[in-house]
Amino acid sequence: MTAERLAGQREATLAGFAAALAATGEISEMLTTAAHEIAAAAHASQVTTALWSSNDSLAITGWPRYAPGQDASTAVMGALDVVRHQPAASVTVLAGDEGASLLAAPLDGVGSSAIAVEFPAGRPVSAEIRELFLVLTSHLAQVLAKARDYEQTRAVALTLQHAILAPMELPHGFAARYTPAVPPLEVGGDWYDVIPLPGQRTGVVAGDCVGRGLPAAAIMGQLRSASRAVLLRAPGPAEALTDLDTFASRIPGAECTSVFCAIIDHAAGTVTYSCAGHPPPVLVTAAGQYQLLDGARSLPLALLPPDWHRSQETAVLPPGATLMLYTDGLVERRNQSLDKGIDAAAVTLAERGQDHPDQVADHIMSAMTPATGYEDDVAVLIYRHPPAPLTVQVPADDPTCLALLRARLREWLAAAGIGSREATDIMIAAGEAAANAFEHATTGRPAGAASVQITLTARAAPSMVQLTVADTGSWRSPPADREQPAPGTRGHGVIFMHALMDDVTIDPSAHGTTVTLTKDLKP
Amino acid sequence: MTNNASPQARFDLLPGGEGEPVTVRAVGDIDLTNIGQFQAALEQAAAVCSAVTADITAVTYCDSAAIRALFIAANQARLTIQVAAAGPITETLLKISGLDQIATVVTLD
Repeated sequence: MTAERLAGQREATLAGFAAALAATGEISEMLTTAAHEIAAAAHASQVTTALWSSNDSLAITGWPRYAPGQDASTAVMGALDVVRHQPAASVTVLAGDEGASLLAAPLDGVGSSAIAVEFPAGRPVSAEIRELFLVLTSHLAQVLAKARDYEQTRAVALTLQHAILAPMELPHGFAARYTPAVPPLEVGGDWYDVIPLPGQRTGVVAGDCVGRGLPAAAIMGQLRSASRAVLLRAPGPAEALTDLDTFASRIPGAECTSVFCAIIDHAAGTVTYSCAGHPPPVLVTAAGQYQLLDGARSLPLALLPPDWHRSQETAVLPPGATLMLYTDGLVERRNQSLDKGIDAAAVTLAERGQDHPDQVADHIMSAMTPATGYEDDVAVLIYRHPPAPLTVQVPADDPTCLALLRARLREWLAAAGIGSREATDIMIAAGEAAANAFEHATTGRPAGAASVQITLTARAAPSMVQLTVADTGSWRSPPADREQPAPGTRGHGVIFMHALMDDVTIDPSAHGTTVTLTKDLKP
Repeated sequence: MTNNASPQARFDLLPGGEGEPVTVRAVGDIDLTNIGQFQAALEQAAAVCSAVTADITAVTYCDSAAIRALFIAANQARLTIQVAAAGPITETLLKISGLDQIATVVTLD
C-alpha cells in the first residue's frame, strides 16, 4: 500500500471518528463511543478509558462495555497508570497478558484521563496502527477538553443561578413554584421570596423585572437581595418599597419592576401589604370565599414623582385562609384581559382552600397552564394560615370510631399544611393515645355509669402542632415502661409517642386521662 | 361526616415458590378493629412455612398493636418485614421497638 493511500484511509477514519464523537453529549457517553470506534478501526480486542476525578476516584468505560463494578485487567490498569502523566500526544507500546500487546496514551497530559487498547495475542502492533491511534486519541483529547470546559461552565452557571433564586426550602405553611420562560436558563426576571422576621412575622415578596432571559435575571438577583435587606430593617412594606425605589433607581434596567411586598403577622392573623404595580394577590377563606388584595396600589419601582408616597393596607387572615402571590405570567393570556385571568386564578384557588399548600401550588400551576404552555416566567407563592382548632368527640364503646378520628385528623393536618412525614408521625402518636383510651377507658366501671367519651383536639401554631386525646375513663399504664421496653407488649405505644413527638405528657386523674402531644415544625 | 377516608384493610396470603417464604401482604389501615385478622394471617403463614415475609408497604396506618403482632410472628418463623420509606412504620420505629434484632427489615422506596 502506498503512503498516500494509507494517509487517505487514516483521514477517512478520522472523519468518521469525529462525526461519531460530535453526536455525543456527556463525557462518559463520549468515551464509550470513542472506545467503540477505536476498537473497530484498529481491530482491537478491548479498548479501555479511564477518567480520574479531582479526588482521584476512577471511572472506567470501555468497548466491549464493562459491567457495573467490573475492573479492567491488571495489565490494562498498569498501562493506564503508566501513561496517565505522560505528555499529551504520546503513544506507548506495552506488553499485555499472555503475549497480547497494548497501546496506551494520555488524553490530556494533566493526569486525569487515559486510554488503552489491547490486541489479540500474536498480533504485533504495526507502525500504521500506532500512527492511526495517535491521530484518533489526539482528536479525542481535544474534544474531551472542550466538553470538560463546557461542563465546568455549566456547573458554575447553574450554581450562580440557584444562588440568586429564593431558597427552595421554605418555612412551614409555604409552597412555591417557579418556571422560567427561556430555556435552558433556570432563572428569569420573576421572583418570589419568604423572609422570616423577628416577632412572629414573615415577609413575603413577589416581583417581576422588565424583559426576559439573562439580562432580566441579572437585575432580578440584585432586587431580590435588596428586598430581603430592606424588609429586615423597614417598619412596614410601604417603607420597604420606598427603600427599594431608591435602590432600583441606581441600577440600570431595574426601573419599572413590579413588586408586591407584604408582612404576615402570625400572632395577630393579619397581612399588611403595599403594591408597586403588581397584580393583586388572592386571599381565600377556608370556606372558599375569595378577595383580591388590591389596595395600597402605586407605580412600579423607581417611577414615583418626588412628592408621592407609598401606602400600605392590612387584611385579616381568618383561620385556615390561603394567600397566593404570583407574577403576571400565571394569568396573562393573549386576547384576554388580565382581570379575567386573575378571576380564573382566584376561582381555582378557592376550590382548593382546604388542600395541602403543596397540592394547591401544583393544582394552580397545572390548571392555569395555557394549551401551548406558559409563555412568560411564572412565580407562585402559597401561604396557608393555621386553621381553626379541631375537636372530635366519639363514644369509647365503639372502636370503629377510631377510623373516623383518623379521617378527621388527616383532613385537618393537610389543611394545616403539615408535611406528609410529620403528618404520618402525628397520626401514629395520636392513634396510639386513642387506642389506649379505647382499650382501657371502659374497664372497671360500674354498670350503669355514664358512657365514656373520647375527645381529640388539635391546634396549629406557626412552629408547632399540639394535640390532646382525653377520655372520661381511667388511664391504665401500659405494661412496659419507657426505658426498658419489653418486646412485644403494648408498651411500645408510649415509646412510639415519645419517639415521634417532641413532647408527650400523660395526665391521669380520677375523672379521666388527658394525653398531650406536641410536635415542633421546621422553622 | 363519613369515615370513607380510611381505606378498607385487606390481608392476603401469597404462597412462595419452592423454598421461598410465604408472604402476608397487608393493605390499608390496621387498628384495634382488625389487628386480629393481621395476627391470624401471620400465624397461618408461620404454620405452613418456616420463613415469612410481612409486606406492609401498602399499609396506610398502623400502630404498636401491629408491632406486637409482628413480634409474635418473629417468634414463630424467620421473619422479613418489608416497609415503605414514606409509610407509617419506618425502619426507625422498628429499631426503637427492637424488632429489627429478631427480624430482617427491608425498606422499599
